[in-house]
Amino acid sequence: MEQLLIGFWTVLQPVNIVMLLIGMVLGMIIGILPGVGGPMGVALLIPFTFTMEPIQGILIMVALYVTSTYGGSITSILFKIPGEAPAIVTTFDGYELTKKGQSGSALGVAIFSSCLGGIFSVIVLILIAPRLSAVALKFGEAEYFAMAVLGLSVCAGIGGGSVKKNALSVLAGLFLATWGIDEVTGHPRFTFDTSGLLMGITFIPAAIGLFAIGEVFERVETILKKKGEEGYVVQERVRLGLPPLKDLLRMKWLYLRSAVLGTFLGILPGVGATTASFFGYSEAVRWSRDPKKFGTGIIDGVAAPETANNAACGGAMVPLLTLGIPGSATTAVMIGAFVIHGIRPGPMMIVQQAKLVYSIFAGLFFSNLLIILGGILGIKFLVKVLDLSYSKIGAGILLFAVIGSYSMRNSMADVWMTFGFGLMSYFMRRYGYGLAPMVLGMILGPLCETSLQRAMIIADYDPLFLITRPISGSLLALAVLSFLYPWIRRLIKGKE
Amino acid sequence: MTWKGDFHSKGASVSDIIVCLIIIASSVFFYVQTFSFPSIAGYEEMGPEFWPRLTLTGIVILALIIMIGSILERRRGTSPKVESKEKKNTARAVVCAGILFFFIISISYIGFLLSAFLSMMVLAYALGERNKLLLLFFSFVMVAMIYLSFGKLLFVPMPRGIWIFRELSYYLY
Repeated sequence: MEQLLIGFWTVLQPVNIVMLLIGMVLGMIIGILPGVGGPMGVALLIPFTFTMEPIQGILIMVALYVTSTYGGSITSILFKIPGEAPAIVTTFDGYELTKKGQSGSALGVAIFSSCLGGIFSVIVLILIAPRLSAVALKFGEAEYFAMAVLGLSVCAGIGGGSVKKNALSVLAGLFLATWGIDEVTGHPRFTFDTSGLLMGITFIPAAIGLFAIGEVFERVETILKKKGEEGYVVQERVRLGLPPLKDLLRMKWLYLRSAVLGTFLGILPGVGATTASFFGYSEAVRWSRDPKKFGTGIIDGVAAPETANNAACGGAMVPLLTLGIPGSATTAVMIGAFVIHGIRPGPMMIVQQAKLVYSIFAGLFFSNLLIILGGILGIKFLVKVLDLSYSKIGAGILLFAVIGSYSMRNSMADVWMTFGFGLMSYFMRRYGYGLAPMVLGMILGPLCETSLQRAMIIADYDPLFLITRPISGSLLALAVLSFLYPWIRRLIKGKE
Repeated sequence: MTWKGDFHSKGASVSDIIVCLIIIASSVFFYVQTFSFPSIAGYEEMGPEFWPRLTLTGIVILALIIMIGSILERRRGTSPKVESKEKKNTARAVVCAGILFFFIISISYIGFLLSAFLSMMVLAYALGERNKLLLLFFSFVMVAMIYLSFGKLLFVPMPRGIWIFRELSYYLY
């Protein structure tokens, strides 16, 4: 407790507060700009921290990490351009709320949820970090596979429309995720002798194409409606605000579930905020009384992924600080920064560098509070764009889509990929195939495939290995139940 | 090229059948590609071809189910033929896609900044903006924002193009 108070006192020193504020501003910029993620932001920042004290350098990175994870949600909600990969799921309901003229509520819920999820994970980090790391280490390949299957079991129900067509979209996403070098065998697949495809279908360019470009094509195709006509897209002034308290209270279990899930998934090495946001969303769908409403523009669809992805940020710090293992791509880059400053993350860090560790805890806590300030400033700037006519907004979105996809790997192949996915998105919308299920298939595809392959190698190709292990067996049973639930419910209702 | 009605709802079953046939044909094409993957020692039972084949088989089965369902609907005469009141201007989407296509191609030749500036003006014009001064101002501001945020702040090496455009770009970035 004494160490914790020292940590808070250290962070509250003026110079450290300034560092957090700088990190917050940079994080918001990086979060809002499409194609530029937390890992890149931290990597760019490392050289600037060389001359700083270790605590100052690390605090600026922590603030950047937390606020950039949130920042992506603003453009997801306002323009359907996910600024960051963890904000992709937020587009599903966030942008639909903007189309209904409720962007203020959506943005307010995103700030509140991100802040809440982040603070929850910091509390978990302070209280039970070492014990949680031990549980996470029990997760083997079979458990990862079962977890991915559980996530996929609700995909087809997301976004409304035909379940069969959505299931086909999920499978298409899983298939597209196989392009590029196979992670297990190292063999290139479906590259057609093109070097740009060796790394596979990069996620951000694909998501920008599917969501941003496809949306522009669809919007410009529709002849602009007058106010009051059916199909009129509301472009009202954004008034940032929270939904009524009773709505927030109604979502209490959703918040708790997403925060717990996000924190735990953040702790698992290699499972970052993107996967956590998806699981937050899919579990919200699974537990909802009206799952069909997800994807049509409800605040639950913003609250769940935003709580989970910021909770995953704190979660990802658990294995970093207790075991020296990165929980996400950004924390992997952070390890480099730690080493540069002469700090070796690992089990002894909390003993040898207690002041630094507790200052990081406090820094994470304040960074999550800074989301509120950063969110309000970022939104104030970005909502002004909504006053423009769609001829300019649409053109601007296409320009940002191109530079956003290019800046991921400085590759024109990614830009063409974005264009291709934009065209595909246009046809998918037209013929009723869900975009969200395809993206979710692409997120979970690599996890599902590689963990299955590795589990089978470990078990000498005995499939029983997957169901005889307690955690994986339970998760797979849950997945089967979840998949069969609509039919079971129909059967029970029929008997009644 | 303005047409009335939603393509999906107007002749839903026919379009579904055509789309499913395209999906099946593409899946078969990719499935055949998997036979060119080598057998890797130690991974004979679950090699690089296993997961693509599994997902492609699932895609073909689902496409067949959707297609058969559409054929049956059509035979029964129950396919939805709802006349949508929504007017759509497909030409505008095609023009937009065309401009985007030429924008991406031109980046490699005349560099990012110039192609972005020209494409912004053409795109905003195609989408309905007619004020020439505003078109110039808007395009300039957008490109300047991209240049400052991506080029200067984040050090993204933007494409310079070829020949004189490449030489000129060095004066800017």
